[in-house]
Amino acid sequence: MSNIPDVSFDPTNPDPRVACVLVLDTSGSMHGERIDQLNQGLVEFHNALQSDSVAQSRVEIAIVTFGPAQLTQDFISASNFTPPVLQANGDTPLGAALQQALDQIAVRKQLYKDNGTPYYRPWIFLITDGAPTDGNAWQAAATRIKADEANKSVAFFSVGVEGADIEVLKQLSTRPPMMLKGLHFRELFVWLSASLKAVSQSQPGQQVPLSSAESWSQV
Amino acid sequence: MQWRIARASVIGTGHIRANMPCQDSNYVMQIGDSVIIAVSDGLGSAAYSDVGSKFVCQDVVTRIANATNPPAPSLMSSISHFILGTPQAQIVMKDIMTDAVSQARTALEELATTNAHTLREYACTLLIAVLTPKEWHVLHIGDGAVVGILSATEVKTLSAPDNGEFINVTVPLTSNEYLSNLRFSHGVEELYGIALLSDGVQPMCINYQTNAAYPGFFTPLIQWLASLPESELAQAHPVLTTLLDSDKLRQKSDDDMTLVLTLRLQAPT
Repeated sequence: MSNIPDVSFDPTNPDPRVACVLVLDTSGSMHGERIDQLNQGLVEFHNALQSDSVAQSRVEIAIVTFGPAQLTQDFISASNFTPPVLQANGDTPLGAALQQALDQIAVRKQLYKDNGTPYYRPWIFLITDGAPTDGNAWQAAATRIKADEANKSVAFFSVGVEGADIEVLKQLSTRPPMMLKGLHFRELFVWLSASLKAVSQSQPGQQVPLSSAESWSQV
Repeated sequence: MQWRIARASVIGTGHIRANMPCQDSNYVMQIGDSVIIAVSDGLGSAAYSDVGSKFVCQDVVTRIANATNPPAPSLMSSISHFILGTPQAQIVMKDIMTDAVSQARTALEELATTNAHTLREYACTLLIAVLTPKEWHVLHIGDGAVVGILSATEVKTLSAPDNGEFINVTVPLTSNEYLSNLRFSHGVEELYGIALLSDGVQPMCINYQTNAAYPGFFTPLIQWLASLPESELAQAHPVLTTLLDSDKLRQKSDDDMTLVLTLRLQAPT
């Protein structure tokens, strides 16, 4: 057989990206065991992503914490992500935090477009154990989330920790909220990293089947 | 034989992991000094898209061949010979190719109905190229790309991928809106050759921002195929398959990959 042609690749083509914003409740009610387990979960999340070279370069993570609502981690590739150690104090401005997450996604997508970077549908992943303290602000956020879900520009997931206002979570999105089993944050983040890995390596037109969440969630 | 052809469709490592078949297909027919090529990528979300892509490639090429070169002389063939290289050829070929695509889609729908499936379950993209001595015609729906080969070192994109907003979304032939998503392109020039590729090969050789074809990818392939002795042209397919299957390419894409490279037997002088 003749020699295999030695082709080279266009070096300017970036890998496709999947952006994920973690929206994490760091209000006073998360104090103690809860915030410790959440921080442990973030360490697991980091470790699981490190073990996958494709996901490392394709998954980009940002973290919005509340309250107060703030961008604790701007978008960073999974390979450079260092899990933060979050402190719990303050109230629960859920609406403001969700608006901030949606804004971050919009900015990131514009950057992808400007740079010609192909991208998958971004994810917003909310974890909370309380009820919103910023009045009806969450309703405006819910309207935005539902519109973005309907035109497939974002995938929104919410997880309630014991004490969360599940009725509010139900109204945020057409996708039903999941309830965390006990403080199984580590299992949750292992699941999240596996799901992001699957998305980041999915094929055109492919619906990515998410693996069962039964290790950490209860109906 | 007037053409050097290397063609390969290989299954993606992602498909192997997910226990899916290779859903890419290709089909080539030489007719004298012309050649008709089709490439199709079955969508991962469609259960029988491997059947769909294979069926459509063969069906559409055969229909175009029959329309442009029928067993008995027809009005259409005398027209197409009469107008070869003139602006009318563009209109006639566009009609022939569009009709062939519509008929192939209808035939696919009948196949789906016979098998008690829906057309959606056969969803696939389609790229078709017709090269004559004086011109080229391309009809395209979905992603993938068609690249014109001007010389051993010069390439240009003739038809670019049409991705939706997200990388994993495209409009397939089976869409109800397929007609408005068909892209026809045409040129009056004698190309040295042409390359058709599925989206699995795009990351290596089609620039995401400009859609430009990357010469560093195509030039070694062109020079390799051009240098093969005529008696060894049958070896071109396994060599190309080995290349697409190599770790080097697999690292850039775990999708199915198809590449069809076609060159005139003699390089233009």
